[in-house]
Amino acid sequence: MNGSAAPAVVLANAHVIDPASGLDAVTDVTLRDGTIAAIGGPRAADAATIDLHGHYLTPGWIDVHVHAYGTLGFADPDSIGIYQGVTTFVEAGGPGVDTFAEFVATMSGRTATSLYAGVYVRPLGIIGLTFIEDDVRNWLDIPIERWIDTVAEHRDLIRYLKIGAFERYGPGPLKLAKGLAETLGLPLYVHIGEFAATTGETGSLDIFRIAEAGDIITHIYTGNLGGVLDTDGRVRPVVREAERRGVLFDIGFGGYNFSWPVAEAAYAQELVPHIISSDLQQFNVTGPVYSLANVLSVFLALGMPLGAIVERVTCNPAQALGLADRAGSLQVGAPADVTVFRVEDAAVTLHDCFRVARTAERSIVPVMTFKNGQRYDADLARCQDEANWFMQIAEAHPPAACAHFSTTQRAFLRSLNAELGAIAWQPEAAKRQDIRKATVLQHAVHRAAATNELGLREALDALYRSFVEHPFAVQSGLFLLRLERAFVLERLLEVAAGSTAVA
Amino acid sequence: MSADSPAAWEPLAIDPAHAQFPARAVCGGQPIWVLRTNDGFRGIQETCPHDGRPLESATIVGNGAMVRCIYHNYTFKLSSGAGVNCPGFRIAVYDIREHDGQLFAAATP
Repeated sequence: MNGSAAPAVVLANAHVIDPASGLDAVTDVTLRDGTIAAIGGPRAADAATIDLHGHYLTPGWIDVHVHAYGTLGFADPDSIGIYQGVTTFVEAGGPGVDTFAEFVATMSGRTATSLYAGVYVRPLGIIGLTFIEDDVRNWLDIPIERWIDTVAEHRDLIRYLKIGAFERYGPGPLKLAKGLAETLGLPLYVHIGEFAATTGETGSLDIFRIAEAGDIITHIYTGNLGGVLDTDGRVRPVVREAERRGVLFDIGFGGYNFSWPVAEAAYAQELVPHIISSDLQQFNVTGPVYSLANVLSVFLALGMPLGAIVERVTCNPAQALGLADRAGSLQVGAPADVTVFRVEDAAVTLHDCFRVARTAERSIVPVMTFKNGQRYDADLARCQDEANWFMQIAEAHPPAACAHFSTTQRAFLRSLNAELGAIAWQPEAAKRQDIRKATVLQHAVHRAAATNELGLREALDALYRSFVEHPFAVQSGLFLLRLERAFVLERLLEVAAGSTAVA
Repeated sequence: MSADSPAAWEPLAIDPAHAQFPARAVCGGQPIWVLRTNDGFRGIQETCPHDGRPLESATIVGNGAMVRCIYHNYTFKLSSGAGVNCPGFRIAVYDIREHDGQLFAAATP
């Protein structure tokens, strides 16, 4: 972090693009007290000046689709946020209604990047096993009372309800989810693109009939079945009809759902996303996604004008998610969230999710980010650190952090050992995972915390740090379900005792 | 028949002195990749159990203890085949022995 304590900072001489106001010119932007103080005009006498000649300056980028939490999340979520030009991001479905309290406990205040939540319709949230995500049986219940109460309590934090559209679902679950979203007053955010080969006409296209104005469909340039093109490569009429109704389209580049041939064919037919997002997660950050900026470079290569690209990571997502009062523009008085980047004239190779490459002549490279006026220099390598995306269980010894647990945390681990001792589970093959058991295990974690009057944040911190070196935050039930029971029980006692030498 | 029994070892059509690794082979009727690691040789199944892409270009990580699919970072222990960051997934792994310039393979139980 590069602290800038000066009361006013003039970001001078950058090419400023603010699609919300139509500004597209070289001018100054003055930040003061964490807000946008002025655009253009005379420079304040007391201001520090940063000369950004040759750079672009835009409102801080918004990434509506990242996985900062849960089975796909990162140890250092800011590495895909403020260190990459992104000042606001949205967790795309990591928590569900049953795991939302854990999401809040573990993620609140953890990131300098503003974090919002898209809640998955499955009470556990995203499980992280592609072939399980499309099985409607593991939705379990839709506890409507808890949904309403949770969204009422966290109205500002929760920005959409997420579901995947799959052939195995058929249209029924999509209609249920649409009804739930309407009940909760949230947009529906829908994954398209089958994870596996399906037979016959895909049912995921039903979502283009069910979604309404303001709902968002992501992965629109997916190369998998269930995409926007018909077998002749033409944009399906049902997709056009959805667009006319006001349904919004998002990219969600990801590790599975961006195809150069689909993107080129759809873009040539003027099927263009309203929002550009990354879908960054553990399993694509080392390629093909890397960063939201890399995805923006893909759109430069497709031929989208720079101003139109900026619109799709600033005012468009801000409006879609009801954040325009605080993000997505350079309005005077708004939070000083600003992204500075340059466009490099040098050939780069850009891959889709299927190792198909295109050579681009230019690329977008973040330089610095201001979040509430605080400066962060871009560091695109930070997210690549293996410790950030590779959640490895410390099997040989408890992690070093265990040595610093409080007495109450150790008592919690002892109680958890007793609770879990009464529950049988096995880390079975993925396709047989007992998802219901994850909820049983989660309840045991929460009971052990309550028994010791330990806050959920401190309890979960003790749980994770007993097993992993780096602080990943994962639904506790899923976390335990994936470990060998005997190992868990032994480790909990070992750490609770606090006498074992740590690695 | 145990893996230690000579009869369990299946000769591979690979010349270890000249082959490029990973090298394609067949063991027990299954296509496999034979990797060269710091400790010698190790065999893995042909494709990633996650979404079926080839493990030919998988990288050896963790000081030779794991192999990682380049497509989505799914990582497996070379000792047992167990998924590390993808619990529930497992790859078949093979013991590989060299004897008189000939490679032999046996599935790791």
